[in-house]
Amino acid sequence: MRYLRLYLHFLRFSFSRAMEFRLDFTFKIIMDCFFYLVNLSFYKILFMNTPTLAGWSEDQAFVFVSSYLFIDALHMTVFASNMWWLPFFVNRGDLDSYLTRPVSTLFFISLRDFAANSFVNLLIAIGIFSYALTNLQTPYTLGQLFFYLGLILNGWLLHYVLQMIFIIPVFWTQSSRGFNDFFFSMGMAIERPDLIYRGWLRYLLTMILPFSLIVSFPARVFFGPETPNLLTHLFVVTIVMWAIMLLLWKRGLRAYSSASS
Amino acid sequence: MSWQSKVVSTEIRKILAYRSDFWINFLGQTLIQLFIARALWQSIFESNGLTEMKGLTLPQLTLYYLVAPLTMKILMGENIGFLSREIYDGGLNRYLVWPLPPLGYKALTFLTYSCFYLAQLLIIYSIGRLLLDDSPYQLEELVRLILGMGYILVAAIGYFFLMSLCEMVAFWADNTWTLGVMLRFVAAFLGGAFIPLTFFPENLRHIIEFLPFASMISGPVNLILGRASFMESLTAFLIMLAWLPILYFSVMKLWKKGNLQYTGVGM
Repeated sequence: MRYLRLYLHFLRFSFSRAMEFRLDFTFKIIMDCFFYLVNLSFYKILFMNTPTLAGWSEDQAFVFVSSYLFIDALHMTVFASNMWWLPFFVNRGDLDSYLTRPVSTLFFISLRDFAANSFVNLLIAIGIFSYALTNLQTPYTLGQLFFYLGLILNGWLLHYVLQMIFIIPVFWTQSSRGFNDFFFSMGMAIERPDLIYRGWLRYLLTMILPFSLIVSFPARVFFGPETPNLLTHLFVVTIVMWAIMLLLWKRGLRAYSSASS
Repeated sequence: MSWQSKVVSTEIRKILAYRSDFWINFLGQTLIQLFIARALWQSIFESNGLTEMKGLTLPQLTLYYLVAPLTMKILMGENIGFLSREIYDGGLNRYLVWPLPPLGYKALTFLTYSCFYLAQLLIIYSIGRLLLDDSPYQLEELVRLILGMGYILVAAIGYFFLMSLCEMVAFWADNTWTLGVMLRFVAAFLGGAFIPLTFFPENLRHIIEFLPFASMISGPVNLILGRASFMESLTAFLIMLAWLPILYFSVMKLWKKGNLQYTGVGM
């Protein structure tokens, strides 16, 4: 309850801050719209040159892409701003003030800033996702749809965990960006169906750095047929990644020297 | 030592300050983008039973995806925020009182990054060429590579102007990094860094070819990879050159207007 109350305060502050910088607010909405447009156009052009992609038809790929856009919008709304600042806090020694507060530091630095402008984009992403579902030729039940939404939320949390794993090394490297650029490049792996990957790359993207589990696995489960192995894989890897992230976070805090560099 | 060489050496030291981050980010970004793009196209080639698409074989496409993202990185130089951050926090003051042209200084720091990434392109391309193409080296290839690198450097000046236009909005708005990101999306997509332009619908391609992005990215990439004749490359280069004065005068006009707005106290 205490954490929920705290989060509601974060929301209030974030919305009032967003309203102060209105031009910035508008720019961010337009930027995300460009991002959606580029992603959708990318697949549109691909399907002008091939009838299927990794066994998916265009309408299935459209659901897959719109699911990714939905996860991205959720991430941008809830976590992205906070994660952007974390390397700077470590680099400049600003993390001190968060360490001394009587709440979980990870909770505070992960959820402190709610991106109100991205919330508008989240609504747009939901619109695209709903439109993609109405065009889907594959039959599905309401139960399957809700299960898919649950898996997407799992993918969203996994996305957060993976980005944290790329940022936490900043405790040792002291740089102001961490491996954020590398993470964003890896982000391309989320945007592609996992069945295109083979050999060591497949192993890497489904086991070691499981970017393919964020949207592609849920989409495969949704499009069927039933795949219990896929679900087991998804949940086991998600839990392991959470454990690794928490372990790294604790070690990182131990290595934190507070001095600005 | 002239001020220009001092600026260049300082910037190189800055680039190399965090070496582990630098190399992991650079190698990670380059390789992972390449592997993902190759996996995607390999899947398309195999599912359609093709050995060639739009005149491109899989190894040629792989080389394309090695050179195109690196070209994009060269164009982006010092990256988003190189000017807006200082307008925003008042740091621009020091450039205004120094006996140097502020925009010239910024252009030089931006292009130092571009030149550094250009050297990386040369190394990575040479390795990629060795691994992906077993045909013997020819003199024409070397000529194409040298001309292509010069072409990219001129394109980086054009991209500097484009980015400066976005950055200078900071004279009026509080936060403008989003404009830089938008520019990157549009440039990468319409320039052919995501998908080679040859896969675009023909009518759309005819329009895109006259925008600055295609001549900045696809133009030099196709020249280096031997995908365009010298005449086609020259045409693309001239299209880009035609954009340069337009962009330059827009930058100067905005800079003058922005300076009138600048309070120098930061926000």
